[in-house]
Amino acid sequence: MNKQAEQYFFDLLSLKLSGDASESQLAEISTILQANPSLQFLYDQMIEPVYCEKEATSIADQAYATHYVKMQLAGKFESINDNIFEPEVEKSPSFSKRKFALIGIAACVFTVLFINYSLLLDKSVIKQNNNAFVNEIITKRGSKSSIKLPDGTIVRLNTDSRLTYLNFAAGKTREVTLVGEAYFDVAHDSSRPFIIHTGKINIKVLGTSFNVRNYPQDKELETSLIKGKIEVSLESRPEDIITLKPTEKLIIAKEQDELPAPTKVKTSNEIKVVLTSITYLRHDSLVAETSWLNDKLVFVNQPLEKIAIELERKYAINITFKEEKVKKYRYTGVFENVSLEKVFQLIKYSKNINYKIDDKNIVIE
Amino acid sequence: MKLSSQELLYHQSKVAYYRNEQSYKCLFLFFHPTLYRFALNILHDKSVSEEIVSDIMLKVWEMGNKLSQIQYLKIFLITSVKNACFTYLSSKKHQQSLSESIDNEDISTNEDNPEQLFIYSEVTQRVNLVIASLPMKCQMVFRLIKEEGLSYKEVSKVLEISQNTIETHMRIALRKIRMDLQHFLK
Repeated sequence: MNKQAEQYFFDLLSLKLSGDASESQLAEISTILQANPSLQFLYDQMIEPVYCEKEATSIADQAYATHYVKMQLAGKFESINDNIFEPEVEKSPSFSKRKFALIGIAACVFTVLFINYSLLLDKSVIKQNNNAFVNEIITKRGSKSSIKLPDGTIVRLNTDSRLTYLNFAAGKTREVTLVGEAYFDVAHDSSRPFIIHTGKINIKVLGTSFNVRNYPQDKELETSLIKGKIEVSLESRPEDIITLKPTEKLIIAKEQDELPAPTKVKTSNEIKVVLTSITYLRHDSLVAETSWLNDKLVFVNQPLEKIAIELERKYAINITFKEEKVKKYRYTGVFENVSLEKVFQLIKYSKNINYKIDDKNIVIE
Repeated sequence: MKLSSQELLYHQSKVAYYRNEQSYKCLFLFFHPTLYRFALNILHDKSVSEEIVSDIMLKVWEMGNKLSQIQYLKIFLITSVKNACFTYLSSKKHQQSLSESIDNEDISTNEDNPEQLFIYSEVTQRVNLVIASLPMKCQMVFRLIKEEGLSYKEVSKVLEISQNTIETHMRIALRKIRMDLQHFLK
């Protein structure tokens, strides 16, 4: 193959890579390749993508978390938050029909309303006690927070939660205590395991992403693993270790009573443990357990009683039921950036329920 | 994150006119990989690259309604990152250490992460080495076309060079890679 012909092939290949090549030029490439098999190796190498898409996405996600905090601190994002019933900006209706999955509440398509979510750093209280080097981050009801710990671990704290940690630099392990719900993206460091205390269980990790849910009001404690590996042990029996693989979810009953239908049940020192898998929704592989990160509320066959607790947390309200049987009504659906009023309208559509909204108190009749 | 050109325009005007944070996030996630890689290839410094991309994206938010007047957001962003990188280099008088750092440093894409090392085959790594050894301009042209899939027209706007020059750069790069691969096969 002479130099000119080679150069011509390079020109064609460049055009293909840039997306500028025409049909006939693409055909020419295949002809040349057939005549000169020695070029095939180069061609294959060039066509292959160099970057791992997944990795780039995770870097971008982390970067956004950092960027978000920066924007918040610079006061760029609007932060009217004390009142979630703030006037909403209506989106154009053409956009409303895309993003969502709804099974139970029939086909109610929301016009997605834009609420300034209260993911606010300044709303969460950061205390630092210098003597003991204890750091404490608290989110109130209705607000969320994203924190980067000194070791690079990113924690997204859901509403009404508390995270405390000792000064990492001092110890050989990185230990935090969690009450409430949080998503951890733990920075990899095999020499210093990351341990999360929740009272009932301890979770030990090396570097991974997962969700922990430990609200005092809930009957169960949950942890869902998105990637990596975590080891869970009971506070009362530290030698008994349960290892979770990605997409697995562990549910631990705080008291001895009803648990969801189990796949595997272990009774360990009078504590019921269920190992199950995380819940995927039909569309766009949305994981129910971590949906709160994207400001979505996801319910899969949940009784209204449980949904009410979630709504109380997210919108910082109080919900009371006048009738017992209403509590047992089950719903499935996804709420994305919708106002509280809209949520109740939808709940009302499917069953004949009346409700009264009086500032932050809601009565369901 | 993948967005069609229509979706891009939609998010762009959403940010421009409604200051929609969700759309802003989409734009950020969509452009970050390209911009970050581009900056990293010039600067060879992860944290500075990260900061430059973040600064540029902050400007996007600050532009307000003017954002809607930008016809090709991608070109605008890559050009901004390029300018910011060179401003950084000249202000820090990094020019000297730059050539050193290229010689000393391994390819920035495969660092300490064993998983990553596993993903990239030996050949790919070789190719990366060759690309990293190319002259700066040539490398930028090649990466934008091969790795980010920019068209000739886009590259010529971003780097302010003619399409002929792009062609020449591509030939040089491809010939070098081919020679290296042939050597590898023997």
